[in-house]
Amino acid sequence: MTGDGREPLLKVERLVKHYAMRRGKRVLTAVNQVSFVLWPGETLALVGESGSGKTTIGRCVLRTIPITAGDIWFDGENITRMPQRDLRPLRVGIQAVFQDPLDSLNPRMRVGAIVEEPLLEHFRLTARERSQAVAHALDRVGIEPGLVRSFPARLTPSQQQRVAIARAIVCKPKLMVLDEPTSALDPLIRSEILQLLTDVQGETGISYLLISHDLVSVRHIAHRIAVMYLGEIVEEGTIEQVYGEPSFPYTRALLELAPSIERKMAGELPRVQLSGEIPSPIDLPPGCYLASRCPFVLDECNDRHPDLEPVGGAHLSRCLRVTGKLPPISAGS
Amino acid sequence: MNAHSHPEVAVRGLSVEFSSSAGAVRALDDVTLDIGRGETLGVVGRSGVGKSLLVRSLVNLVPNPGRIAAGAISIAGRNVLDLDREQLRTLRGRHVGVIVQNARIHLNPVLSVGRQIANVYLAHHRASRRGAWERATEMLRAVGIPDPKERMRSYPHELSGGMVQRVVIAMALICEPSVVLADEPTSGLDVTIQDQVLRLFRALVSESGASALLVTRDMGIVANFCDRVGVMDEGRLIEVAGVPEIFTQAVQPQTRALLAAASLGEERTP
Repeated sequence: MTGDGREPLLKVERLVKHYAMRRGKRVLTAVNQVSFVLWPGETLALVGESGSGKTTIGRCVLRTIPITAGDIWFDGENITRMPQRDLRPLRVGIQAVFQDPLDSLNPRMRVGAIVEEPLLEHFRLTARERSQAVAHALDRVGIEPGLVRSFPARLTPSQQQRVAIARAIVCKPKLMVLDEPTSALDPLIRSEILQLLTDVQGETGISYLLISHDLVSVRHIAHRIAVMYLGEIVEEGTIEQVYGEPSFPYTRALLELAPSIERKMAGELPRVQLSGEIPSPIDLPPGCYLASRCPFVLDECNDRHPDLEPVGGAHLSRCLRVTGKLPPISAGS
Repeated sequence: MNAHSHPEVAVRGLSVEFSSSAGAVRALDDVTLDIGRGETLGVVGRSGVGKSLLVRSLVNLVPNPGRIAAGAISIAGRNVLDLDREQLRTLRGRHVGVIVQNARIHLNPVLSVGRQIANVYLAHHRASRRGAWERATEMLRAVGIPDPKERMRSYPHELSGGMVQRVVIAMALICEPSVVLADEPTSGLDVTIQDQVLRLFRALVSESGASALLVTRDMGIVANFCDRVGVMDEGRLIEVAGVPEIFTQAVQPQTRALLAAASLGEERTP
């Protein structure tokens, strides 16, 4: 999926987010010079483990937290420093779905009212138009009309997340930030929700910024993937590039260490095992951030901070041993 | 199936009921299982089918208003349902180590983790405070926490999720129990940390020859870290099979559904 002369729907440039620690002048770097684009109709997955900064990026894009530095363009407009009162169109164009639907649905509102609320907030519609839009959105996500007057707590987790999606799509947004939309769900339900999101994208051409800790489960829904570690993108590419030829050792670990039935049955052993602890984001090391856990570490990795560089087409990697700055990782190791 | 003449854990016809205004609800229904020495039995199933309740029932900790309505439980040669309070205390901790999910909420926030691990040892052994402290430090080293002497003095909030989970594993294993019950020991942990913790769990269990029950929702964990697996549905154990076999010869539709959902995430891209 490339631009073909189109403008990206979302463009993030050198985004930085610092949190000041309570005591002293210490600063926690949550997002560190992150740049990426998202094209119309595309799904970009930001994948990383806790503390990698992926959720913080989502919040910056939603403009729910102050941004330290860098720029964010949405639909051709720089929204980075736009005052809150001018953000109303953005609140229609960008919607969000979070991990735990029960946390994001008002427990004292009925399903119909929850889905109708954004319409009341942003559009001047007649009651009839609103109820049609609500019925259509609920139908789209597979919620039976009989549940319109139910409270969220009475629904199954799958239905709750469907209602959250219905509320997000009822305004016909161009972008949805999906922050771990299936992580709180049973594996059985997870695939249903992912399929629903894929179908909605096929019909509406909406773009997804998908935030997840699980590299394996985003494979079916994402077009491109950016892998994050300690606030930085460490690898970026298409599904084929990242799954077919993972280049950054941490990406390889994420893929190989997810307990797999298939690899176990085939007798394959993981070749990349990490050990040791993640460095503190308050006191980042001068070299590669993975050096403390990486099985392929060389002395130079501890001194020299790598840049994100092309390793073939649009495939980017931040490993000095992959981008040719240091001797390559030998095959079989 | 590993046949053992005296399985370390033997459960027969275990039923647990919760009474409510609408009558009694069977949360566990006629569960029978064995775990041999040195064996790890996985227990899988959707949320709410009774996996965690099974773990609690095995050490006679059914939450109110539930009660064990029928059945027998034998652990390490003891008939669990016949034990008095004091004997149960000895059983838990000394003979059975329990690793819970969301470990952080089970630790005391105002005691150092070293103190908490040492206290488990002191509760079950005649030892000096200093001896227990040293033993606890050794355990922290064994679970792969760097700089264990320093970390002994840390409080739970100062440790990452992966480290807290390892602290709880250290607490569960410090008395070298012959049975380890682990309820989703890695839920909430990142995949690279999960791998570190599960490899460690596997190594410690196999080193000591303990029997382990590992509750999980992840069939991939079953494939990589269990010898046999039991599938639960609505309080019943509906299928028990060896670990390679379950993936090729599952009989029950519920098992197949779990496997289908698991492999969906694994299909290779062309």
